[in-house]
Amino acid sequence: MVFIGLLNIVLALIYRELVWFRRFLADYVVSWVFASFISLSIILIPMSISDVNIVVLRFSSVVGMELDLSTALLVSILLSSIVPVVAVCVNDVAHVIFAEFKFIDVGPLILGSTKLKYYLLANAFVRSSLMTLGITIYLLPVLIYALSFYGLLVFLIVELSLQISAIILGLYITLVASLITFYTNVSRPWVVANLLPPLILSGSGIYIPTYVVPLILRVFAYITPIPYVSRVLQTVAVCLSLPEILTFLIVAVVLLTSYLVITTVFSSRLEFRVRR
Amino acid sequence: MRVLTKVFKLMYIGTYIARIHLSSYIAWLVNSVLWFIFIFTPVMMLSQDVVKAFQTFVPGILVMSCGGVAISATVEFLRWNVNQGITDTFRENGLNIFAYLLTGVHIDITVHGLLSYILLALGLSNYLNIGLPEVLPKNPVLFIIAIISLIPTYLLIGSITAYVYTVSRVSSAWMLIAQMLIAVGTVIPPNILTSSYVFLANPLTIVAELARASYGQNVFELNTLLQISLITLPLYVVVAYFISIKSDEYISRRGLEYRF
Repeated sequence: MVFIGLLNIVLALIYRELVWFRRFLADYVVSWVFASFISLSIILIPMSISDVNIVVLRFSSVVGMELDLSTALLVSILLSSIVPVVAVCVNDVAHVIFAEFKFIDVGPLILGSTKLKYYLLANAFVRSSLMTLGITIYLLPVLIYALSFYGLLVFLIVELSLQISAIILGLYITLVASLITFYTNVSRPWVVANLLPPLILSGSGIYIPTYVVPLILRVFAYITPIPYVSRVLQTVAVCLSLPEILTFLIVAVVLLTSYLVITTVFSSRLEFRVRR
Repeated sequence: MRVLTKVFKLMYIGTYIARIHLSSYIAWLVNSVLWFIFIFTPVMMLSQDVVKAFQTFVPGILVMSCGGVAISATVEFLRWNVNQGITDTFRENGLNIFAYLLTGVHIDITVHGLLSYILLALGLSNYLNIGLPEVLPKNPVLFIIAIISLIPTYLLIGSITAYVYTVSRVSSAWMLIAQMLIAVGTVIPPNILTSSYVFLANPLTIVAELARASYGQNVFELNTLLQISLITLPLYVVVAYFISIKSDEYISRRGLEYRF
């Protein structure tokens, strides 16, 4: 019975996501352009005032591998895919909770159809997972063009890593958004949600060595899987580095379990409060 | 005199609107500085000369940021405020997009331009270990001229955006692409092509070059730059005014629908 209830919510959320994908297709296209723009800018803008070889050499030292210009650009493209994933997962999962329970007031409809716990968990899983697929799909033709058959394998590894990271981020932001929505009276809750992506990204040191990043920013990053997934993405275009993948998987399992348990317990307790 | 009084009245209204949205301004400020730090720290670190990179790119970020805000403010007027009826109230009082841009220009240039620039410069200098003498402009007068020049350029960028948005069916998502495109000539210096004058197609290039000139990193020769500025900047205000009238005429004839 619980399974059928949960399945119905998941199906409803998948339907909603597909409808929204059609409706906001232009925004998806912009996110592909934005990620590509960042990736190319980070490598090409320094070249306007520096020697090409020095820029590539410096980027190679950040990645920890010797790269040529085209591989450096490819690594940069892969790394930039983290940006929309973090931005979209954090913002959009949170905004749905803010909108549905604070502004549009469809909360009573949701509570009449299902348990709050199921809805919040399903939203965290489905929304972050499907949106991640939508905003990273542009990597498939890029990788196949650049690496042919190996590109397909790289895409699968990248997509899987980003999917796991997105779900963890979805659960993390569900906690934050639920706290803001149901325990505070903040009139502009999206301000908090908008602030988290740059904090997480700046703290992760995606394009720079992490020791350069101030400790306060690193705290925001290391409670998410982003610093570890960026290490996987840095290396995967050149070779399959098992230590990086294993480290990411171990961290991901720990974080996923922790956030899943905390969100489940928290949303169960929230049920009574919200219904009352 | 009447025109000046009207301008000051609009700025007064804008100041009060900004006071209501103070928390949003602070959040946006912190948010944009963090985004810029995330994107531009690697840009500086990968450059051969970190100080030169700072002095070339950071003034460009200041100008790009103000241009981006001009686009956002326009889309706000024609998209969000349409839904809330504020655009109609504004227009019923004989005020068009030009007037709306005037209400916020001083706040946007101060908060999104100058304050964001100061915070970004402090943040980046901390990341990159750059001393205060390198962070401060060598020629403050040129820097002040650049900041003042942002006003007509902000108005022109806003008016062009309004015209494109009203006469075409583009969604506001495409305006984000325009915000990326204005990086060419501002953050990306006009030395990457053999003819730098091509970059003047972006009205913000002149202001970015003036800001870069205050650090001695300008691509255009300073005298040429000042001569071009003397002609183009007043022209920008006039052109912005007439473009705004054109978009307003279009709205009067066809109306303006709320669209994503």
